[in-house]
Amino acid sequence: MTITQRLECRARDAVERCMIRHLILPTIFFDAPWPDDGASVDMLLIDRAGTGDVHVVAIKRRAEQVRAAIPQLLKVPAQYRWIVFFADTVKPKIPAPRMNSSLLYPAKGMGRVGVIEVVRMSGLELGANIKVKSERFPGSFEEEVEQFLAGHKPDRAFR
Amino acid sequence: MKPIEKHRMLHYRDRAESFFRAMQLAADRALLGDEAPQYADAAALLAVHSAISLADAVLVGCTGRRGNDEDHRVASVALRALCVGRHALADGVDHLTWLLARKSDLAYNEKRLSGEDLDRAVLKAERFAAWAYRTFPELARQERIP
Repeated sequence: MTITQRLECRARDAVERCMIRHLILPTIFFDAPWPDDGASVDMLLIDRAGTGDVHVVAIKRRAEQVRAAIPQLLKVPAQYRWIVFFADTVKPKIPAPRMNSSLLYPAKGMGRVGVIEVVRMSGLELGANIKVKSERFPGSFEEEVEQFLAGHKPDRAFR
Repeated sequence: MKPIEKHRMLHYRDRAESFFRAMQLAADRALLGDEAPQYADAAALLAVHSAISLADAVLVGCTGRRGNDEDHRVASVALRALCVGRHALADGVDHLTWLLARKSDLAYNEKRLSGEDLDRAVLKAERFAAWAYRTFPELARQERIP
């Protein structure tokens, strides 16, 4: 595993803690084959104990990877989509996506990709902060979620 | 049991989630650090109220009635009856019953709440909410029109 991959994996724990505060009892999967076995998302969270909205998360080490990652993220079925990157990779030439950045919006229709920044804290711990809240994309995935939950064990579920 | 229009379910669910989020904040030791004990009593009471409101949401959404303000234990009985009608497991109601049994103690007892007591109250609120959403998924599938 490269250092970049290690950091992206470590970020999942920080993002998980952040999203648990943002959502209500989410059921969480890492490296989830969502929506089917041919696909994979870094994190899949299903709100309200697996009965609510679908959130997907793509984690990138560097801010400059965000531009390429978002079009892929927009293809993943979900009501909410989130992009994550490390704050220490933001530079004047590579600014963090802002709320009005067209990058975060689909070409047409409703929805906005949310932005989460990962920061290094004291003791080399990682923390995650929501910088731009995701807005709802259209769609209902009740049947897909039911099927997914029947065939996959979550990494974290509140029971 | 008081009659309430079923569409008011969202009001009770949103209130439950408001209490729930506040409970999580007030019980977050990592966030509060040394000040955490000062919030323990509030967090525990919020756990109770989140469960009461969520029980109300289920009952309003499914039956058009909600629990009694004077005696919240009525809600436990009504939820169990609802589960029988739906052939659903009612084991989650035990968490609500546990919280209701301690409501007065948590609100009026002079003894300081221990960290263990708080953790248990939060866990019960979480388990009741998880059970309620899984047993009555229609709770999660409605949103308020802005």
